Amino acid sequence: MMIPVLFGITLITFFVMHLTPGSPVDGLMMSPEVDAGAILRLRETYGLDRPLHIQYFSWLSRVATLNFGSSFRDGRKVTLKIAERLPATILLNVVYLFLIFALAIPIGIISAVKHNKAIDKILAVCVFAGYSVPAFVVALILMMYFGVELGWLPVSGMVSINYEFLPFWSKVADIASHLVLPAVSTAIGGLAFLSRYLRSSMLEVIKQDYIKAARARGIPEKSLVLVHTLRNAFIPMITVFGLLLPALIGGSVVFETIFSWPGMGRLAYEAIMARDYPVVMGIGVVMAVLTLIGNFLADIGYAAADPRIRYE
Amino acid sequence: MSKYCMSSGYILEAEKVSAEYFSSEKDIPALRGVDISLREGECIGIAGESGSGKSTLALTLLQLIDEDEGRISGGNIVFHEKASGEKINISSINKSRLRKVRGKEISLITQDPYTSFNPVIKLYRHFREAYRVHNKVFKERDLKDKVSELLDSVNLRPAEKILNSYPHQFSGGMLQRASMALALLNGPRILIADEPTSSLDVTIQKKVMETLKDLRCRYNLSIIFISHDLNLISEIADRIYILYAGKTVESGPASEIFKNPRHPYTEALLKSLPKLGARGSIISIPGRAPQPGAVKEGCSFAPRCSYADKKCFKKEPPPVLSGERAWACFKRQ
Amino acid sequence: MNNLLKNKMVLSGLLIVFFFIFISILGPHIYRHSPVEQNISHRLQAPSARYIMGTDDLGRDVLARVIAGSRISLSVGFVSVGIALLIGVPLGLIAGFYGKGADRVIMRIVDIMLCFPTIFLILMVIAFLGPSIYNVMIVIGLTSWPGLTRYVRAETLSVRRREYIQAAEIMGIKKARILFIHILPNTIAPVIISAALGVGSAILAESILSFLGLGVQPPHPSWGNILTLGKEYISHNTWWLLVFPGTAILMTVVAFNLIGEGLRDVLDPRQRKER
Repeated sequence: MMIPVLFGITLITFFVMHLTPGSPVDGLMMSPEVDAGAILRLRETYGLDRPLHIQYFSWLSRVATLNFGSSFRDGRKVTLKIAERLPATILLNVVYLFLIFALAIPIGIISAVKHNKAIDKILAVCVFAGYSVPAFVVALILMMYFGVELGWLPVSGMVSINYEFLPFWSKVADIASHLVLPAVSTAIGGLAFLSRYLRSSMLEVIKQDYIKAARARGIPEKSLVLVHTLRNAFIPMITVFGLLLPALIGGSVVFETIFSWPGMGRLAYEAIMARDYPVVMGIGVVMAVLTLIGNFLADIGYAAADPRIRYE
Repeated sequence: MSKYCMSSGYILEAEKVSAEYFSSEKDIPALRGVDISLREGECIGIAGESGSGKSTLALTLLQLIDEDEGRISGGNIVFHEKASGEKINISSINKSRLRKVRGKEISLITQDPYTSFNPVIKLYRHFREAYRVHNKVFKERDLKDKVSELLDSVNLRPAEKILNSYPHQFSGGMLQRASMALALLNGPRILIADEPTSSLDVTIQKKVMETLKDLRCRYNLSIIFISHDLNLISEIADRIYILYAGKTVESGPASEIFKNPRHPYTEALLKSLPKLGARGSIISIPGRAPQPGAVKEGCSFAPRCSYADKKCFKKEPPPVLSGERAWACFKRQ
Repeated sequence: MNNLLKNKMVLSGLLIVFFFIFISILGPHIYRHSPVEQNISHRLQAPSARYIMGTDDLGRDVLARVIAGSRISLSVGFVSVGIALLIGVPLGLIAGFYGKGADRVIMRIVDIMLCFPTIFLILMVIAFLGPSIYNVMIVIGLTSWPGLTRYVRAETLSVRRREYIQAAEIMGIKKARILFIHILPNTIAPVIISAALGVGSAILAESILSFLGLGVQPPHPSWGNILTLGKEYISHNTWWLLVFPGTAILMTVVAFNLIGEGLRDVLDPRQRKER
């Protein structure tokens, strides 16, 4: 599964680049930001005169050794550029994942336990609003209200200008305050999706006979929900985690751009806008690999959580 | 058939029990005023086709009908507690007292053992969890001894290996015996067995029935044995209740019912039993069991009954009592 | 059909959609202010009686631009879902009906597409093809079919196993005929549901692209590029540049989600039970 997917993704990335009318170089010549040396380098690295499939395979073999070439804009190694942006993206996404799981679990439990009661219906409306609302607009409005109007939170970047001179704990607080808006606005969609999924998954499990059987043994409702139902309902959530990743990584392009977050997503946007092909393609591959790693971890987690899979 | 240790004291009495399930249009009655009684050490059999309400009865006795799916709409279920001699009305006690009855006084085993265990939890945790609910303080050692003894009595060995396995690693027969052991963990006095063998192969059925009989004697259990199979019921039950469309149509001592059925439905059921070595075709009951909720006026069996006349379609027959027996039919007064 | 209209979600969703369709067609004739006319002396004005939704940095009337933007958003939504349907439905039918190699190849492509961060792919293609509304429609259409293919395939597989289809096959009825007469109609429910949800997400995607400067280019109006200005002038507290186009996006997306979810309640019995 993993190898063909990776293969397919590099293929798409490669051919999308060649979709450009004319060769990538023609487009570049018109861009004032690119110097003649870079164009020469590009011709060299990509062997643009050779047939497409040969170009692809020679590119692929370089990719296999993590050699994506150098950026057109500043001539720095693509791997290096990505590596210095990756930590910020990972930080944001870890916070995001923590946030949505920490909130989705109680929301999912409450709405499943209070199925069809008032609180479930209220939560259902909130969840519906959550995945219908355009998160990037919410991000802008939060930015204007909390950042500009109230001036409570920083609206762009990851650190303040005076970051270098702050003591350790103030540094942490500084990054944390920069994290709030991006993390909250990214979380809306994922939170809605996840809590809805957990709710229906729990309702599915609650109907199972083994819950009734446990009730017949006198097991109190609290442990029925927390031990039996939640644990079983959580198993499909692990797969969902795998599904969530592409959206997460794609979303980081939008939200990092809005909040000028110095991560890989913003690098992708900048590179796309500047037609910095080596960087774009490098990021494409890294995103694909990250997604695949996520899926792989989800598979392992699935097997760990469900003994029926493990023993097959 | 009452060769087992029997005393005449009642342990459970249910009267006029009714229950219905919700559906989008109207509520569908599943039980329409059923009376049953169970004596100490006795085994009663509840027989009926699917849709007769027999499984609903099992759930109702433990108040296990989901709030979302239906409700228990009437009747009293009285359990006689041994230690205090107190009568507990199961249908009106609060949830925490109800939990003390479930599993501790009355246990349930269901048709498909695979659905009565949580698939992601090992067997030992099932036992431990159930034990902890009813014994706040306990020693792990005592629990282990008790579980081993129970597993031994249902012929599951070695205990250590059994307890360390997940439910799906067992065969159906083994798991059903494990579920019996689990049901008996807290020393209940009543065991409700709802079609305990119908998901199993015939050869394994036999073993499970043997185990059940054995447990009954060893632990002096009172058993409510629910099945669609009168042959199985005849193996174990002292008295029988025949359910049809949510009502008891006939009840009485097993031997007498088998010898001399009174209600036409019972008669037809017995005729339809395949007998070992008998020649000739099996006689089936014409028509189909009514859909729950589709019951009209009069005797619910009338549409399929060869004796029925106008009266049967108009009025509901009242029960005729005769000694320990009772039946509800105009034609057999 | 009666059920559909009785369903409050579908009904209110439809009402909102009709409202926006009405606005996009007749709006410019009713509200006769130009969406592109500049009036520098009136730049960045807050909402007033003259400018109900305020003005942007060049003094253009935001209400007129929001009205004009609705036409863009709706056409992107419908056209790109149309493209996705044209690709996704046949592929799903083929995969589910013919199975074997075709199925394996198609589903592998679907897996690859679903693994790929769609928005990144869209951005990349648009950046290389050049930003234009037609490119946006095409690219959103080309990237949003895989989910549809999955649904159609699953439905085809389950219909295929039914006895009347197998009977038809045994009687020697042509495969193509079975596919179109018997199987295609059965896949309509999931197709309509995901098409409705798809229109909503296409509208959202268009607004994001325009917001990032890769969709509709100024001076042409779109909800997304009004938001771009809102971001640019965020320190001026130009809330009307965010709130009005934002609400328009919210309402259309909500409307299509309502239709999709409502239809699922009515048409998909598995989901219906749960409610």
